[in-house]
Amino acid sequence: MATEAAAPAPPAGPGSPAPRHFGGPRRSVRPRHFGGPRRAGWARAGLWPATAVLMLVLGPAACSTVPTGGTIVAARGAGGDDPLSQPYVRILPAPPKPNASPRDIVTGFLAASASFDDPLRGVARQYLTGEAQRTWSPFDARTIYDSTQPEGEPLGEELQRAHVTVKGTVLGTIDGDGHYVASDASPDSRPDNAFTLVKVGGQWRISAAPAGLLLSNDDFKRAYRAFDLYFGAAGVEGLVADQVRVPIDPSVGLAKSLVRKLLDGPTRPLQGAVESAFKPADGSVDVDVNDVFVEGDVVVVDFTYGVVEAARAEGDRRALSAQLSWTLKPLTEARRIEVRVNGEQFPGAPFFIDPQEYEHFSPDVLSGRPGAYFLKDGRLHDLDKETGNPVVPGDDATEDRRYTGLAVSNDLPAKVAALDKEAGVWVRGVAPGNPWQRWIQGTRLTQPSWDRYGDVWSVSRTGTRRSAVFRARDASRQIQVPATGLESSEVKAFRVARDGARVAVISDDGHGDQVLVGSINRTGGWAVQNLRALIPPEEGQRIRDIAWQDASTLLVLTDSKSDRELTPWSVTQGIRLETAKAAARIESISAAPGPVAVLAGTAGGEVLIWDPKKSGWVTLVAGDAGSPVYPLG
Amino acid sequence: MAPQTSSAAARAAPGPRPKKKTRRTPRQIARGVRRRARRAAGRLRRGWRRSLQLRVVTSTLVISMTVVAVLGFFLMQMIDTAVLDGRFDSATAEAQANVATVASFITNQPPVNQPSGTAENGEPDTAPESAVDRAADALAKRADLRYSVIILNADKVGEDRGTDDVAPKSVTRKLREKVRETQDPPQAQYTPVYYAGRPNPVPALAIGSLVPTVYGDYEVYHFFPLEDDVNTLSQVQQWLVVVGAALVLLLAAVASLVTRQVVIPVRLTRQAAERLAAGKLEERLRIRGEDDLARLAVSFNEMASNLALKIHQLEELSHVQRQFVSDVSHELRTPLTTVRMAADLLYESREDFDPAAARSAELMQAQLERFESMLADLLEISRYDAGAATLDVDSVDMRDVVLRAVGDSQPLAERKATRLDLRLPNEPCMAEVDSRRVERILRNLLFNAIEHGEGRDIVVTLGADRDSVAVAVRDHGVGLKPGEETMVFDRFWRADPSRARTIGGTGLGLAISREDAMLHGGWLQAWGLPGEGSQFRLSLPRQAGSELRGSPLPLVPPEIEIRRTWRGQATPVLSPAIEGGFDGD
Repeated sequence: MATEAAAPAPPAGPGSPAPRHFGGPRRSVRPRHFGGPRRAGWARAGLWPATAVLMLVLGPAACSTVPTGGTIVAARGAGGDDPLSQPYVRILPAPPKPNASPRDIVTGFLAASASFDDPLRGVARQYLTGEAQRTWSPFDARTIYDSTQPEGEPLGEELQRAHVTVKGTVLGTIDGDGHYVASDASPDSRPDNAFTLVKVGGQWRISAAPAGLLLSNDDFKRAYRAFDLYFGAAGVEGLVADQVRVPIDPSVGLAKSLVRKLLDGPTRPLQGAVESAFKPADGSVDVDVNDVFVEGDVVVVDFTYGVVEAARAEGDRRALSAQLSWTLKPLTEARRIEVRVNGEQFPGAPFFIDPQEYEHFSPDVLSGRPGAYFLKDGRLHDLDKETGNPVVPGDDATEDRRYTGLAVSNDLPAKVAALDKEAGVWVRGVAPGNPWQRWIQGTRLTQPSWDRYGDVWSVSRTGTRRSAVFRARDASRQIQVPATGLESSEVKAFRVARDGARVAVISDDGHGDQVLVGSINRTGGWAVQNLRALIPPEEGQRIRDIAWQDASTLLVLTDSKSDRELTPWSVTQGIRLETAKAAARIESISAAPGPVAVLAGTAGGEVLIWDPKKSGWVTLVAGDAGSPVYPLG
Repeated sequence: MAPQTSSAAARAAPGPRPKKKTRRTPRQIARGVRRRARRAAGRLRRGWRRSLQLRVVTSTLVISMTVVAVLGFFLMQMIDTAVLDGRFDSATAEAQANVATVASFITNQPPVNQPSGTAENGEPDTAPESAVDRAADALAKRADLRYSVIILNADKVGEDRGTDDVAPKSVTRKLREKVRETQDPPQAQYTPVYYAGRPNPVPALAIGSLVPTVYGDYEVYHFFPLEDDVNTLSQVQQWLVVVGAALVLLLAAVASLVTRQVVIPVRLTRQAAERLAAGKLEERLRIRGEDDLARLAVSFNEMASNLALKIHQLEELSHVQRQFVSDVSHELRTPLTTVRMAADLLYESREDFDPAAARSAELMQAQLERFESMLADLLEISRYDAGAATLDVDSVDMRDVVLRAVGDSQPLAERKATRLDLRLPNEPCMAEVDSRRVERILRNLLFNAIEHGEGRDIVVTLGADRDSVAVAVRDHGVGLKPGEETMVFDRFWRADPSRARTIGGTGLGLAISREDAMLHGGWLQAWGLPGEGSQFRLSLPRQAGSELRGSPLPLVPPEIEIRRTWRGQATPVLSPAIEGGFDGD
């Protein structure tokens, strides 16, 4: 009766089904208490709830529809809110199947050992006999083969022992510090990795396995990601890139693994050449990372307390910020980074890193559009076709000595170094009143090379396959730098990279021309160290010139069997980056980072520029000019 | 009234107990708790019965809570179903598309001898070579962390892949068996999905499909995490609960308000009616508005004023009558005095008359005495009516008063051969009373008892307690019929109109007695049963002016009460003998 009396009182929303439940034909039996129908006493109060509830519950349902018009909004998907996480695939380790063949056991073992879920490879160990479990360690070596298809010997029925070999070309190895070294072994060498299997309890188990992990190329691509770590260049505000392969550990996360790698310090080729703000040489700081996560628009990196020590000095703090922001850049993009200490705010004030502030730490050093120079008639010319290649203002050199092998420093005003025929590297400033001075004296010097610190480097070929590396900061003193890998070979070119940490060398130790890449140890006694072949010697191969394009790319001008070509190589990855460009007639090259085109000089004194649109060389200066150069490199 | 009297007697009976700090036994504590609970329940019940508002609000709360709960439940079910159904459909579609991709990757194995290592074009080649890796890679890129995929192959070794950090234990055995059993339609299950490095699983929708190829049966499991949906649903649920609670409270408030609007005027009307009943005839209701309640107030006011008018008229009438009686009485006195003097003369010299004349003189003398006493009674009662009666209070021993009254009645009792049985306490029984009036009451009661006692014994009992004294006069005569207990106090009332007054009662004695008792603030009550005789009880407060709460003596004689209890009959409710005299209400 309560509901019946309620029906006329509240106006139901349009289209609401609420009123239809009430009233209706039974409305006439409305109770008449106190006289009027409108004063139904408590009955009226009691009927309120049902109607009101229905109105409130069903009313909005009738009104809430999807809008058919309205303003236009950006349709950003929900997936991109966590830049630290990227999709990846991983292998799921499976324990050995019962009654599996030796080949399946080896395949299963290889697959299980390629799973990075468990660093100790608990599942892979199930494929091993008890003895082998003790001796085998996944940390011994990581070797990458082009394929890991096991080949087993046919089995006899009663045999208790089986051999399975995995054949394949070694593509490279990964050092313990994550540095990938591409193998220079020729495709013909296919070392066999032999597995010995015995029956344990009626099941085949591996009793002898090659040391470490054998990864197929697929495994390698699946389980590792290449990242550049950035370390501080010794003594200046700048960074040096160092490439590592970070294994994807699903329980740790890529970003955390990456930061942890950064904390571990530089890989072996760069040790001594760079500094890490997280790991000072005196070993006074011990930092670990707790977590890396995204909070709103900020990427939070949570360190242990050591980071407070590491960032105590302002310079260290800047270096640390630069390292972190540059290293995390592929994951964080332009987001700000906040450094926290054990989950709490950095002591003092919040520690925010804005990546924009650290742009100038770029390991490429040169920014914008660096100008190129060439020598003509002993005077330095700006390479600028529109203004007619003018002489650099202020250059009033009058000596008409014939200099070759120009190098330009990154100072302001620039310094120019060049080689003269009488065995010397001569340097002068571009500003007026700076005559040529001989900085390095030696026999058969290579083209000089400036580094970012203002040193000029050159190699003197003192005899057949004898070389000495010199550097000089001014005319007063030339210093010989030990370079064990070079002293017993003939060095044809020596170029210090713009980051000041790496060097690239063309040398010949009797097997033919090769390109070596090493680093300059500036912290623990001067040395050119860790020289490693980027391009191994090959028969009939002659390397004409090298030039640094950016911090990790080296252009190599080679004479192969038929023609001359220009190839960019990645120094950090040890691989060729692009297809070669034809480069007939070209004698020297120079390159700079960014969108700046490659320059080349010919024997006839022409200056050429690579036009990427036409995929060909275009002449800039017709003749009688020296080789064009960009600053540094 | 009766229970009150008895309770007062009960309270008086045991007397004040010595306060002794005793250790209470658990049973006593339990009893105390029970008593308290009972008391609370009683209070609650009383409150429930008395408060219309409480009842309405409570029933509104209950009803609306039920409705909200039921509606909320169904609404939540509907939302759940809608959200999960939508998710299920899109997930199934996506999973099916992915399965087709996987099938095409695996059945179209790439040429085996593709050059490996670095690709010729720039960036290092990240595309894997094996089919299952390429399929998994494609799925991982397509999923972009929205969901996870696990590819399993029971036939071939080393072909198990997972995207992102999904843990292989997320695939339940039941689902796997079902997928391998039924080939074609993908199988779905709501199941928790586990992730490496995360301790807690996440609710998810798992969809498993089978891709049969020549390389073995590949099982593809998709895990669509339902975290967001669960969050959304729980948020909706929370909101629903909050809204529901707010709604219920709102409804309760509305009900309370509405009831208040109705109840307050009704309560005011009740209070006014109560005051009206208590004699405040000038009580009126304030009229607000024109609604039903206002009309009720108007009617009430009309009723009250009509009532007041009538009562006033009656009072006037009564006053006039009393005045008339008083005047007549006064006026009659003077001629009566003269008549009396003449009659006295005649009476004194009756010896000289002939016997007939002498008898007439005697008769006249007797009737004149009766006339005089009747006139005195009338004057007395008119004094009461005029409110002119005053008490002459003095502290006296009630035993003396009783004895004096009994002494006065003794001659009559002897004449009627009636024995008076006195039951007096031993110690003095002091009370502040007007002894003349009390004596008159007792005399009246005794005369009455002797007259109607039919010669049987009359028991006079004096009882006392701390606050009050009482005298009961019990006779064993014809008794009273039901309803006569109050009528005996009416003026000129006669039990049997045919019976003659033998002792010359004026018919006003009990009426005057009652007025006297009331003047003392006491009670005069009667009890009687046909054939059992009757008992009149006079109860007076010991201190003049104090309120009488109970009587030391029972109204019903103890022997009757015992007999009645023994018979198992309930005591009939005794109607009040004196209206408003001691009613607590």
